[in-house]
Amino acid sequence: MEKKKIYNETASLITNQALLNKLNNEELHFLLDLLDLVVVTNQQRPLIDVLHRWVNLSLSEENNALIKDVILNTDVNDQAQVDASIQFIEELLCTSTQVTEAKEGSEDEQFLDL
Amino acid sequence: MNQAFPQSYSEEVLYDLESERRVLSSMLHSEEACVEAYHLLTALDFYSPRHATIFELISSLFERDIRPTYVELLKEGHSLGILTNPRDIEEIKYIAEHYIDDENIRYWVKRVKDKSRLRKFESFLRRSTQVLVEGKDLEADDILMAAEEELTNLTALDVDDNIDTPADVATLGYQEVERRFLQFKEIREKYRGVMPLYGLPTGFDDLNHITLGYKPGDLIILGAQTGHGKTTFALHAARSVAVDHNSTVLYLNTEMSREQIALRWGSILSGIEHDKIRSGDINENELSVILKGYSRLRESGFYSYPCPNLTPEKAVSVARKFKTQKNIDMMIVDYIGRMDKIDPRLQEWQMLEQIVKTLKMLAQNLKIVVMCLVQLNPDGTLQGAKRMKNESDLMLKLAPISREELEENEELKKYRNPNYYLHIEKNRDGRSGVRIPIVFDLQRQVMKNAERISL
Repeated sequence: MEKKKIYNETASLITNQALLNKLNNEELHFLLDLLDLVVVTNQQRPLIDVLHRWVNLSLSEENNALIKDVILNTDVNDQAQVDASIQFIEELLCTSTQVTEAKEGSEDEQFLDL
Repeated sequence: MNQAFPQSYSEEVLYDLESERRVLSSMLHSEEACVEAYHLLTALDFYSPRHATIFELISSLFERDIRPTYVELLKEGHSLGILTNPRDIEEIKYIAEHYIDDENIRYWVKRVKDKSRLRKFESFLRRSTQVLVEGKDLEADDILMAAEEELTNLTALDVDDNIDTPADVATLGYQEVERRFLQFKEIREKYRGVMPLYGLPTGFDDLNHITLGYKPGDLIILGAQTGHGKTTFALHAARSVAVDHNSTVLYLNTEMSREQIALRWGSILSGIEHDKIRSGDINENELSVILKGYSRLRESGFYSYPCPNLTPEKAVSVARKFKTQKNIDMMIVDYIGRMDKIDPRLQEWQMLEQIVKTLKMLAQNLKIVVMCLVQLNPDGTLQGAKRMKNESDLMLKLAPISREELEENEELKKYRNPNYYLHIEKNRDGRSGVRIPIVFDLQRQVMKNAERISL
């Protein structure tokens, strides 16, 4: 019962954001579909996992926009599309993490030099 | 009199928001409720404009075979620009969350409908009062006649009971004759005398010729004894309509599994013996022929609904749903002796009569062909046959031709390998009492007209 209430509340919250023009129609549809995936069908776990990893990383605005563009254009009922999107996002996350680590590494070396 | 129409009654006489919410909530939670409400109500029956909008949203999703959930409603409403106020969302959420499954959707639908009719009555009274207040020089007869007509329309039941005037009947009659006259002329000139069908193809040339096809609104009854081709006949009809003619058929089967039905199609569309297919005793070449057959089925309009506990109510509900979502042209019920009883106190023949009546009404209301299969007694008779015959438009019986008759009947010798008769017991639109010799190949699941031997 609690789960259903959370589901309904979240759906209402997302739609209210759209009414306040904070989300466009595409974003609204994607978020509601995602909500269904997480709460109702419990499908596409790898997609949900990769999105989890994404939100926990702080990527550049450019990369965030790229990922957002990819997921908004992904039909979550089309497995081939979902797989391709997961692969794309994972590669982007991987590259971004390596770049950040490399940056941090070179900064550490500078500290050592000092 | 200062007030043209005193408002001394309670406004709640005219609406019942709780019933409206119950109907909408049931539609969100149960497909059967959705089918029921969709067919009995319109958005105009709802007092609350917000409820009317929600009803339209649910109906629009249902028509497209999308399960109307809360989230789907939000998506649809936002896409159409209907949800503009957070209160709209709150109302839908309230309805979605407060579902009480009391299995009484018909009661709540009736409540909504009744209130809607009362509102129309109230509006009629207001208009009539206004006429009296304003119209000083109106003729009493004119006022009363107009009022009577309006009131009669209000009290009429919701069934489609249009009364044709003499002019309507005459116009319709002439149009029908003219259409047939022009068609006949065209046939004589273009098709060299072969009549085209008015309805769906039956799968038998002679039956097509006599009936001109299965027509929308027709109830067709086919009787046969156990093991004498009821299902083969049904699937032969389905093949003719859904595979060869590309129309849409809903097939309800009460005794076979999904796998059994699917396997039968393997034989029907490949011509390979059913036993071989069932056992898997086929070669690669045959496998490829069968695969080709199934690819035709894939592109066809055949929908199957195996349902061991089929009731007349469920049959009606499923037919309505498929008519709305897939626009079916024909429904086949295989077979009605296996349907669950409406009332356990009824005798077998009474139950069959009730089911047949229900199916006839369904055919007429949805303007589809309904074919139902019945089981004959071992002596070839049918319990309650007379009543069934009355309801049906076409009544057929399938029976084997005896060895003696094959040897003695000179007429049968003019055909190649006939082994069954298709007997036309009743035909509302044409000849009856005719026996068509056919070939029934049980192993290949094939039925066809017995070919005439050219002399």
